[in-house]
Amino acid sequence: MARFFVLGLDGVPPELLFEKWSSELPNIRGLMERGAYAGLDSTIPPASIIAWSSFASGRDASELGIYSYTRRNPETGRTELVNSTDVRADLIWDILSKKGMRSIVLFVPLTFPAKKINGIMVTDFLTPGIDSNCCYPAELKEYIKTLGNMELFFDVAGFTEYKGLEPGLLLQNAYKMTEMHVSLIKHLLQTEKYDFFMAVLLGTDRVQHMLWKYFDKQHRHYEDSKLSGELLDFYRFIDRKVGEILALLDSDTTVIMASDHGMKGTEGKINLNDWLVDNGYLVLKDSSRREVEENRKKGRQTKLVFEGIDFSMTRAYSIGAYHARIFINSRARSPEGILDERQRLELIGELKSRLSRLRSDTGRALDTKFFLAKDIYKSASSRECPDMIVYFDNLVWSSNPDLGNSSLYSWKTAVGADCAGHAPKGFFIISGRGIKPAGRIGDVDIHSITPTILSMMGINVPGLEGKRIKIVEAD
Amino acid sequence: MPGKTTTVSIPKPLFDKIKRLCEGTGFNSVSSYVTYVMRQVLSDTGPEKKDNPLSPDEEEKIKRRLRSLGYL
Repeated sequence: MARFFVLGLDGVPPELLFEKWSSELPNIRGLMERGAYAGLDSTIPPASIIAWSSFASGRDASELGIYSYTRRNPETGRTELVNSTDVRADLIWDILSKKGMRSIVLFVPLTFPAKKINGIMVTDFLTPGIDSNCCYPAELKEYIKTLGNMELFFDVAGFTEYKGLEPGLLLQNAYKMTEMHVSLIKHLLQTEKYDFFMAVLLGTDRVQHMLWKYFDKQHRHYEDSKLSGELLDFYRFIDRKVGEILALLDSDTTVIMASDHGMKGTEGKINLNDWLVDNGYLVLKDSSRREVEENRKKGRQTKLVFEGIDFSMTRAYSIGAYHARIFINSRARSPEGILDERQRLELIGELKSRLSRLRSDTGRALDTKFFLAKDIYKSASSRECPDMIVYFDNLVWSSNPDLGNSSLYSWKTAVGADCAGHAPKGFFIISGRGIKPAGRIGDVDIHSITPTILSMMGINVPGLEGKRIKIVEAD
Repeated sequence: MPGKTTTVSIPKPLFDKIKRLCEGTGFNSVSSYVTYVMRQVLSDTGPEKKDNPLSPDEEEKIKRRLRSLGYL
């Protein structure tokens, strides 16, 4: 029986791993040379909780019922957080548990609160602390507490201001967090049996968001500084950790390494909700408008909240940083909706046409991409499903949902500035038992990973057939 | 043997419209068509969500983290 070990590196783009820094990363390069590797087409949008959930299920956002970190409660109209109990599809460890197979699942986004599975689960960066329901079985907490600073165990900035963190301290915390995570991975590899093991290392995403402009000479805000070599050093550190982990795997294991999305330098942010307000598509309640004005005078942005929207007058609003999720206030979506189906479709066309003409602050034409829900999702009729997703300049420009900016463009959000955002292309490597060396293969779809693993394990799941990656398998 | 069924009322014009829609399709009655559509709609909303598994304090901590990451 095939056994799988999956190591996720959040946000790592194929350009850095396969090309720019390949010669610096001997352990990962060795894995590539012994197997097959590819670019990986992420979910739309390439947000970590959706992407990893799709990776681990083979299902798209509409099948998972997960479109974002938050959702609007249809009864109360208030914003609420999503958590692991909101995921509507079976994840691979649920499927394997039903088959009596044992999984170890560590730090995979959107696994909090921990679920009882046949195996072990430690939850992700959306965990409120070590004393919460973060481990199954709960006894594992006692071992985890011996690993170091629990404030940093689930994310690099604890609960403080990540984007306000000084880059040196951010790096220090990313090293500490990763050391703890790898220690736990190694401990469980040495002490536990498994059929499927999956761990996601988060540090690469967190470090890249804030340090990209120090190494990328093409970045609009490039800064040559003592930080310029730090990202490569972090990659070298990750590669050494990969080497330590691989040394603990036996020859009966198939190894997958992958990211959930890539990363690219960003130029700035387009203040989309301000634009929607200025053009009469989004109407705020009086109290909310006053708050935005007061904050604007103090030079502060204001978060858009559902409670502040006048739904009796609003035709469209946007949610989401980096990519924009545009919602049309239609009757089909909500009892407060004001547009019928024909008006909804007309408005989508109108917004698409006007937003595609927006240019950068320097007058450069933007390569903006539009995705209609009905074109990208299997089941786009849910009330939580956005009508349209927008990547300004294919994500070189981010969308800023915050209100009260002085122009169409801004350089930071209400919580601070970063210099890189998620790119749609991640990476994928498969090597080890059952895999022949095949070099670089054609890009793979993130939804095909779980079907491939299940198929190699001899498990057939209805609805996942036909999604398998074509890999040259050893006899 | 078919499962238990019951009766619901819908406006007559809507019934007539559905009846026309069913013509020439695999649906042999308005009831089978409506049952199919309602199953689609209800499967979309998923099972009823259980009570919030997060305490108010836990929820606030996660919100702080998401705000600091720029997602909220």
